[in-house]
Amino acid sequence: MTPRAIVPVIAILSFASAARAQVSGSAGELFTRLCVRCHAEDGTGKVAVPTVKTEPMDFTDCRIATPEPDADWALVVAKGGPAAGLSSEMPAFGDALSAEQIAGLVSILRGYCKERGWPHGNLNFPRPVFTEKAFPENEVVVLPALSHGADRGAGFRLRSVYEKRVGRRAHWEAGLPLESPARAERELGVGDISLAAKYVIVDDAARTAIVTGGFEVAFPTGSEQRGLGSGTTVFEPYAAAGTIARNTYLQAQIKLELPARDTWDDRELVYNFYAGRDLAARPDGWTVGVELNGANRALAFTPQIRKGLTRTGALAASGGVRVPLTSRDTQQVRWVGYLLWEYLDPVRSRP
Amino acid sequence: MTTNLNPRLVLLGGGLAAAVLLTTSSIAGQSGGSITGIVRIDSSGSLPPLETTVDRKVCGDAIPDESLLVSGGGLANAVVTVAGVKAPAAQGGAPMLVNKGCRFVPHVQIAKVGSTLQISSEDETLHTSHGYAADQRSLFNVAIPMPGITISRPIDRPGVIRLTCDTHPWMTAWILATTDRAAVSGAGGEFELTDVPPGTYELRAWHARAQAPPQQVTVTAGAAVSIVFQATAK
Repeated sequence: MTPRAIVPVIAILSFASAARAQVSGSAGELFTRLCVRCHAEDGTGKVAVPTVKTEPMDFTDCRIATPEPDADWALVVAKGGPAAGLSSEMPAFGDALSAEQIAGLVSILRGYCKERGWPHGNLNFPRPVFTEKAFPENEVVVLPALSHGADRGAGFRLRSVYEKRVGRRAHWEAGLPLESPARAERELGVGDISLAAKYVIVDDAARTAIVTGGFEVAFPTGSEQRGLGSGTTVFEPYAAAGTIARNTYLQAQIKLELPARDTWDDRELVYNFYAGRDLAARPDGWTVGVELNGANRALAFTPQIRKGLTRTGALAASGGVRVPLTSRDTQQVRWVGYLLWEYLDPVRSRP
Repeated sequence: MTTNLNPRLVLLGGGLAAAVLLTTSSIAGQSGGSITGIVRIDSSGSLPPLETTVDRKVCGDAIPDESLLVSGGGLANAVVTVAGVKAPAAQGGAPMLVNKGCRFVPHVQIAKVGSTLQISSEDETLHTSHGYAADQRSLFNVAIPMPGITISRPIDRPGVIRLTCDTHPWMTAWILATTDRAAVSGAGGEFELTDVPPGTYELRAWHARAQAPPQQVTVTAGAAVSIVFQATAK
């Protein structure tokens, strides 16, 4: 599933018909009456006499129960499993329960994860093109970029990144760029391969705030002579943060790029800020946003749009254009985007 | 100017006019014919009850197996369709599905494409009404936690819809969504399709657990044609 804002939960459920809200009882009573039959009293999905063919997910498994936002859980309760690519044996309760009742059920089922330290899925915001996400992920991301202008030829870069969560709060990633720089002589080859790790330092679900610290190292695997690499190892410590204000995702990253050769002369301060909103509270919905991208005194902005490509949200694509605001003689216009695959989520809905 | 009418001619003329009117009226009333018949099956009879596996306080220990109901050699719950003859507006009425005694009522029904299925429950337990298309694709699955709630789902394409309850897996029902004239056979296998326009048609019989070859039928105005389907269990 795809991360989305918490606030649209009520909006998602507003389709429920006039026949709803006749079911009474506290959230706990409703959970016992309506959910325990399949999901079991202990939330594991293991019942003595199963009546469904697909074993329900184990709510006590924090790896499964924590990464997605409440909105996705509410969507599944209201519209049924297929709404987010899960089993159709999970029925739609949206015609019978109110939005508040469904929110109460979501609160209960999320409480089955008893381990502390897992960042809440409400802090899992959509990935911008340049700004590093603060939330750890299990993803493969392919980022193409086509640049032109500034009195140079067109350049192309295709960077592939593999990301894997480690434990409750960390993640590591490896990046492999394929470069064709904007030069008189056309070159194509592998650029500087990078390794990175990040760790969630602060996660506050109540305030919807997350802060992550990370460190990336780019190795000089690309030929400097052919314009494919920097020719030196570059160390890149960074911090990334995210929050939601008025249904708007706000994400930021600040990074210091320190080359091993001429460290202080060639150092660069990189900073990215992103603001974006969902147009529809669904895993396959659209999200529009804009980034402000800076590197020392060079500024650019990147309007962008993102869409989940499947109902599960396991595939998503983004596209945008990075337009220089300053230093137009050195900065090129860049057409950018990504295609991402959340490889632990089902790509297609189950029958 | 005055005209003297012959009383005999007046009577003759009036009689002729009345005859014409009566004939016309009779033709209008009998513009279609009817198809009556029976769906027979070589089967010993109905099946033993289904044992329930959960929720016995509400559902009891067993419920009747309605999947193959045979009475006197007649097969109930077969849907007979006249291919190519448009269903009248009122065919089947508003399709309704009631969860009652941990069974779906009715077990088999026809629904016009474009109609809305009304789903409700009379049981104090959680039911789900899960509709599958013939290719096993899930069409909808709604939870009905208690009596007093009616939930609507559109019937928007033709075909057979199989309904199950995911909390009481023995529950099944069938809806045949169609735009054609259709009728469901009664307890003894009998069926009747009235006011069918004159013509030659293919008559088809569908049943969840039995099959019968289609038949050609010629309908004439004002007449009834009788058909016997001989079904075999699938």
